[in-house]
Amino acid sequence: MTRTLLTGNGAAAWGARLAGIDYIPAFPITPQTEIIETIGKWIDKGEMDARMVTLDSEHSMITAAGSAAATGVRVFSATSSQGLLYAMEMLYTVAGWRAPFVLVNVSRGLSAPITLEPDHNDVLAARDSGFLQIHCSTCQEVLDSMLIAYRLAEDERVRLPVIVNLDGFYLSFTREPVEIPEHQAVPL
Amino acid sequence: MKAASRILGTAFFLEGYEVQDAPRYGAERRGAPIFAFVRASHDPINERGIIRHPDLVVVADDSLVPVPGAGVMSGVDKHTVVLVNSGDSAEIWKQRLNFEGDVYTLPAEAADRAALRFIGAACAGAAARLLGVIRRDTLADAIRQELADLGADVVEVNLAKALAAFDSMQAHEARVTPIKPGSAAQYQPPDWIDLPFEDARAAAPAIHAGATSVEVRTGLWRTLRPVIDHDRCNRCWWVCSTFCPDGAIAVDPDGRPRIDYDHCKGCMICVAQCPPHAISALSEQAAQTAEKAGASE
Repeated sequence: MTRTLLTGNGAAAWGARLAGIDYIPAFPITPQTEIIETIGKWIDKGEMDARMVTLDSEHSMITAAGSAAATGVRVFSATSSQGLLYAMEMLYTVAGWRAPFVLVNVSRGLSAPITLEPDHNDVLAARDSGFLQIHCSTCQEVLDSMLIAYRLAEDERVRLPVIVNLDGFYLSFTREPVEIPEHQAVPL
Repeated sequence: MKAASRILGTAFFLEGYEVQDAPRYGAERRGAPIFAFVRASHDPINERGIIRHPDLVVVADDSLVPVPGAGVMSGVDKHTVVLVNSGDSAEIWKQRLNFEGDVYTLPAEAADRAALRFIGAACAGAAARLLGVIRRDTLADAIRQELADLGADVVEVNLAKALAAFDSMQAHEARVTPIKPGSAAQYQPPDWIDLPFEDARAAAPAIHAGATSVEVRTGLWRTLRPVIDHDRCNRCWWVCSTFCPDGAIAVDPDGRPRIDYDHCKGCMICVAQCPPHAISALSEQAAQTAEKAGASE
């Protein structure tokens, strides 16, 4: 176990890494982008064995995530704000497929006018989509919730996609001490 | 300043503190003001977000101090220590700010504009000494950790800057005194929150005709002003005007570049690119003050 300083975004990326994810359909949006960038860097360095694909929109991204999860691979994706809203139609659809995967939403206010500040109107809009939601209050909870979320999503009695939600700025860009478990301590 | 906050955060962490460090961005563009904050405690830190009552304020760009929107001095009281990267003396700043507390400056850093990119490390170094609980070796370790990805040369320069700033504050060691954080139990929620009725035009786009973006004076965002020294400019015709991301530099038929200050946002890319270094960066506040003085003569 290592105790180190991580941002909420860094903790989410570590959660995905420890969960041994296979496939990451991605589309950038602030304040989530650091998660995808971190995972991209790890894949590039050979520290993670996974396939990342950038899609043309969050709508396609969630479609890809749901389709891939239905084939049995472990899928991760992340978005924020308008991105989650753009994906909204497919959130309901892939949850209806009972496709188990984990989506991080880094909460950010919605237009208009443009804002980067955090509020929960994005994730509240997904309340009845069929996705389960875990809301985090510390960077440690982000990492822990990622691992819990995969167990929850993939449980035969559940089989639903899960949103792990963290607040923009207050968690996404804030570093605090986080305990990272050893890889062997996280059974796949 | 994000680098400064990360260096301080890591240094505190290495000294056994619980830590929270975070940057706060506004507009995503070069030259836009940013700030960052660090909390450290021997107890778990439950408070989050912007620090309302800082024990220490570090200002890397003194041109932000008089900008009300930057809020540099918001929430300070006489216990707060203020460190300004400025060539002006601490006494001048105390008078200027009408501030009772301790003010310190980094004159060596302010004198050397080329060193501005290392200002984060220098600020962190000086701040560490003012805090008094971070050892010199710990500061060095924190810089090595935080900047490792940038290569050994960059680490060395930043180390030298930070340690020099640390040493320069020797006489003021441990001047920062933490105040006890407020308890959440004391918080009194307001009965009623007034939401002011906002003019509908506040957010509505007002597009009355095409090609009107020129009417938006983005030059008001500027905190630094690029100024061309036409004696030094070698009339290359193209470098500054091509690199300007906003097309705010035009070249006259005789080869003289002209900056459109109504639309220059102050990113300073032209300053960095000009081959004969004919463009300098002035504080916008100082430039405006000088202009007003010139106009009244």
